[in-house]
Amino acid sequence: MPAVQETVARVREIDVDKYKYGFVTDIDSVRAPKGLSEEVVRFISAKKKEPLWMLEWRLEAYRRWLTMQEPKWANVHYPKIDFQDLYFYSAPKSTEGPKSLADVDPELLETYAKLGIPLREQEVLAGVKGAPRVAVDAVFDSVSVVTTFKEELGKAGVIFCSISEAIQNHPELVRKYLGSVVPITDNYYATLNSAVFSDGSFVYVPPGVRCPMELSTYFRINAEQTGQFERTLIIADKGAYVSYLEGCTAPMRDENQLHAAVVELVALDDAEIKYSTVQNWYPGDKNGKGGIYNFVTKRGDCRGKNSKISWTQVETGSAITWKYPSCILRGDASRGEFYSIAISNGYQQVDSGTKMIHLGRDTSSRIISKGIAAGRSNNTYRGLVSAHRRAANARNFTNCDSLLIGDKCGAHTVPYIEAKNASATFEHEATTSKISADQLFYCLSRGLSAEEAVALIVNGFVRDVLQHLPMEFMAETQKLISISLEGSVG
Amino acid sequence: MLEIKNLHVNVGGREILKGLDLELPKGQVHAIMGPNGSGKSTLAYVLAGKDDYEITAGTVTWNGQDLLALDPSERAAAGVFLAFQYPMEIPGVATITFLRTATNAVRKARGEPELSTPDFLRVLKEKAAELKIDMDMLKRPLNVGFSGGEKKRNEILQMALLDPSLCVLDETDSGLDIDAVRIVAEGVNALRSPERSMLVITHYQRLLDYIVPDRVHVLSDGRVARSGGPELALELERSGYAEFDEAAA
Amino acid sequence: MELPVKQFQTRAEQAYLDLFNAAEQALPGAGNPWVADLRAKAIDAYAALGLPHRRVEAWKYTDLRSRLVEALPLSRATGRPLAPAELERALGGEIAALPAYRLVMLDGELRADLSDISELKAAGIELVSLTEALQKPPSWLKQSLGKINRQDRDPIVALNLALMSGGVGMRAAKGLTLDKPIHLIHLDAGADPVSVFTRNLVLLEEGASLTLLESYGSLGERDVQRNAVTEVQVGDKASLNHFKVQREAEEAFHLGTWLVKLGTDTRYHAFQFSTGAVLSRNQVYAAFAGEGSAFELSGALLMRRHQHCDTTLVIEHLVPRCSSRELFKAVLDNEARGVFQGKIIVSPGAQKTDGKQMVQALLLAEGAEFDSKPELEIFADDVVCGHGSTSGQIDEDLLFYLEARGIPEAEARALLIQAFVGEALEAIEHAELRDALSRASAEWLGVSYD
Repeated sequence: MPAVQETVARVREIDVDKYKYGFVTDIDSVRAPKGLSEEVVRFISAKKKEPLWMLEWRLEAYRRWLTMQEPKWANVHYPKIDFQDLYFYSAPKSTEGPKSLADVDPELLETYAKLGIPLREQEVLAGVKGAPRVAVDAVFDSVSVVTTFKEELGKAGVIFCSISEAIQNHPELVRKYLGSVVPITDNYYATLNSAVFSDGSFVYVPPGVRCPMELSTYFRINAEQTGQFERTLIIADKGAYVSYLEGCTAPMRDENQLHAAVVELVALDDAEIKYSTVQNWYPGDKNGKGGIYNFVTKRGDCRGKNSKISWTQVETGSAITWKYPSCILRGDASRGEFYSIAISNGYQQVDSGTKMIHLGRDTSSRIISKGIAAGRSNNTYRGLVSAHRRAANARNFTNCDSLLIGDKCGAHTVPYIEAKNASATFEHEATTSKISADQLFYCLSRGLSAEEAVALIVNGFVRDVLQHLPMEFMAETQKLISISLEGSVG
Repeated sequence: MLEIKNLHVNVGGREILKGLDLELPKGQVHAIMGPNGSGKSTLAYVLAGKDDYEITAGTVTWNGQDLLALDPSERAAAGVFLAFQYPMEIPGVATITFLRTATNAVRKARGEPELSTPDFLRVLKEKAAELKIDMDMLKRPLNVGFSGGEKKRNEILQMALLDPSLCVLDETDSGLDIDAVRIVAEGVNALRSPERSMLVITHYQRLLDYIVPDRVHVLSDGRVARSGGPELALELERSGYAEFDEAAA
Repeated sequence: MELPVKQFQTRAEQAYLDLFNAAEQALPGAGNPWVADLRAKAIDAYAALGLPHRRVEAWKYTDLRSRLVEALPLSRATGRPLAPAELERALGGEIAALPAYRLVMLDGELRADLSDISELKAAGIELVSLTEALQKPPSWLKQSLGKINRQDRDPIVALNLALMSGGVGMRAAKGLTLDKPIHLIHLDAGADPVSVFTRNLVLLEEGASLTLLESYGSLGERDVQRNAVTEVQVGDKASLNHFKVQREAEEAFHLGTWLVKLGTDTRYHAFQFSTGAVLSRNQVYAAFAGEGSAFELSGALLMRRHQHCDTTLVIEHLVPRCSSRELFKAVLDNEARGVFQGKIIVSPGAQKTDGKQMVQALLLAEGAEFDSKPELEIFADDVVCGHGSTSGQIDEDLLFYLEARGIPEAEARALLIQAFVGEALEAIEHAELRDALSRASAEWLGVSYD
């Protein structure tokens, strides 16, 4: 079992309670004044030299946000966030100028190299022959520092750039789609994001184009006391296809940092978007100190007939995760998928799941969720499947399994299933159990250590989801799972 | 006599049967063979009247009666019986209850007196014994947890009880070992009579060693490509369907 | 008493408080400080909570505030005669005829003339009507009433405790078993619209074994708001078969709650069957207080027209080594709406818990709706818990199979629906009741039973 051996070797290299990506990059930053006000919103917009319509959009969101209450329904607990004690914008000084790879601060390139994200295209190209190439948009604190492979993508007609650039260069697309899936009034954190989002990625794949490579964004929070509010907008026009990956890390800090992102996906007729996330924000230390509050709104709109949106997520990081990547199945015969692995250890709290809203005829959806709780963590699956009056022949299959490791953690399952159309067929099943003692014993008796055995069994438990990840993420994820569960075996 | 003329059938917008002609005289057993996807099971379902099979042209008559105008239950009353390739499992319905309900529904529709429970049980015991079916099995929910062989024997038992005049056996041998095939075939042979016609649909010649047909038809690309005597099945066993696949391509 | 300072939002909400204030001195047990205290605390709890509405998570799919627009006057004893034919019509002939010790309550009043009180007492059951009990409580009742698996956050249970005016209290002594079931028959009797608040208390001491059937029916077609609570305590090694059959008229609102507490090594098997009422909510709160107990609760509901039926279960595994099983089947026709909420809670330390739940809905018409929220809340690792929820139409392939065997479509549909419901009915060990409910479902389907 080479994979297992390797996993275990990797685990041993890292001290317990050491987060691999916890280093800080020492770099000069430009920040907005501390706290949140109309002035700060104007500051961010001005920094980005945004047109007036964008500023007005932000201000509308900000005013709306002032009237809203923080949601309380999720099964997560944290002290009240003081929004006046946060920085809403922080950017490395060096990125103020034009962005080509040559201009990027070597310190930043070094940071990404250390994170295992090569940004120099030649490095990518010099990699293993035949290995898939991935275009990367690297977002550092509040700004995108570089986007690779733009030219090659441009030849195929694919637009892949930071959202700030898109606002400048493709205003017609941004105005048409921004906020059309997650309206600025949607929820407390999405509205906040609409007011202060600083950067993120933009993708447009024209009709009939199959995006020639995987696209990815790598998010890094570096600065202290800084919230990251990125905004991602992906549009697959008629008959287009794109696969997109998202990764994220942050330094180890004693404070809790807020990450409130919004991701909007739009799939027109016959288009397909595959969105994969490996979320590895700093989870806090073994006593539950520090870590990222990951309050994210992700939603895909299957706007066209026969369109498809597939979410795959591996959630191992963050002190608190609050996210429900969802699909609005508006187009007839559209399909939505959600594949999730959520691992919590230490004092982590996860409240995650999905919503599948069936509006069109003959729509179908599939949910596979695997939650693993260890340590003193709490892991909640929360999901909604609904078929509306017009959604004739809607189909859903849901499978939510939870695994508990240790007797101090909690695993919860809260599905809402609403069939308002008699021809809808919904099937939901959920189980909660611990790692089977028989399986463990079997592995141990074949010579595996307890750690190896748990890693093996957990990897088996999540296999149904793993196989939906792009190849290059799969091996990485298997290792991440082992690392996340480290110290969970008594 | 079953007469199928120029039958065209679409399934999900795709044409599966493309002008099928077939005559099955009273008292004869005909085999329908053919490669996968040639339309064998479609023919079986169309004869039994399943929804979602759109008949775009052609006629099917049974003893002069327009079969296509009848509901599935009316066809059963008229004597049509389909032995399913995959018999349905119905949890919560005891097999005996189902058999009695079906038998009496058909008798009623044919103007015959319904069987009282003791009379029915007597008939059932007799027929079940012939097929080596244990009465305990019949107390279980319909087909639930039955083995492949038990399900197929249960189909033949239903055939015996409903006393049909046209039997359509859809891949009755699929998934059965040789002993099970023999038991099923003996059950079918026992029901052969000058009053009863049978259409035996099968991919393999094996079943026809036990149920020897009067005629063999080879289906290819939605039509009868060739007809012949029992020797045609043996020939196919040797040469396979390659010739017909090519014809279809 | 002083009312808490709270602005009420709906007329009905306020009306219940007015009802309480006006009736307090006339309610059974008035002047008895124990009762006054029970009622006062309960009405305060209700006043603080208000009528539940859709923003209250547990009532998300049943908005009582919008459905209960007024509070009907409290029921009064009527002394009305009851002909056997009326009873049969209200309950269904077979259920009415089940051999049992009958306790008949008309609008909440236990009617000695219609009940087998002396027989039941002779068989060893301690029995009091709630009215008597509130005036002169036996000590066993006083210790337990309002205290078994109390749900102080449930406004409906609180309102019941504040306004309870009928029902029975009973106790089965150590090791007692009866030769036949006890049948609690709740009927609404009068001609005028009323609200009926009943509370039953059932205590099984160690090793006792009972079968208890609660049936609810209507003698007329008038507006009735029924709020019925049954508190059940099953002592160590005791066993209870607990059934409920609700066939009230379609003018009725039925709010029914079971508060169940199980001791060590108990066995509790329950079934709920509902076809009546325009709006019904069946709540079951069950808590395991001792190890090694087995809990089984199944149910079937058949609804049509604009009926709304909500089943809400909260099963709390507080101690190790207990099992819970639930299987519910919903058949929904026309514009009917079914709601199922089932929560299994496994507390820290409740190891070796085995909890499983399944709910299945069959939607017969385009306008029918089914909302389901099965929930697991688990704080112990050595457990096996699971739930399933399905909804859909009749399987067309099954239907075709039956039709191909000569069974006409309408009959085939009925057979499949019967089979669907039958899977839940199989859980009933009491053969006569199982058959009676099987026939009741056939009757609902309009099928004659041979």
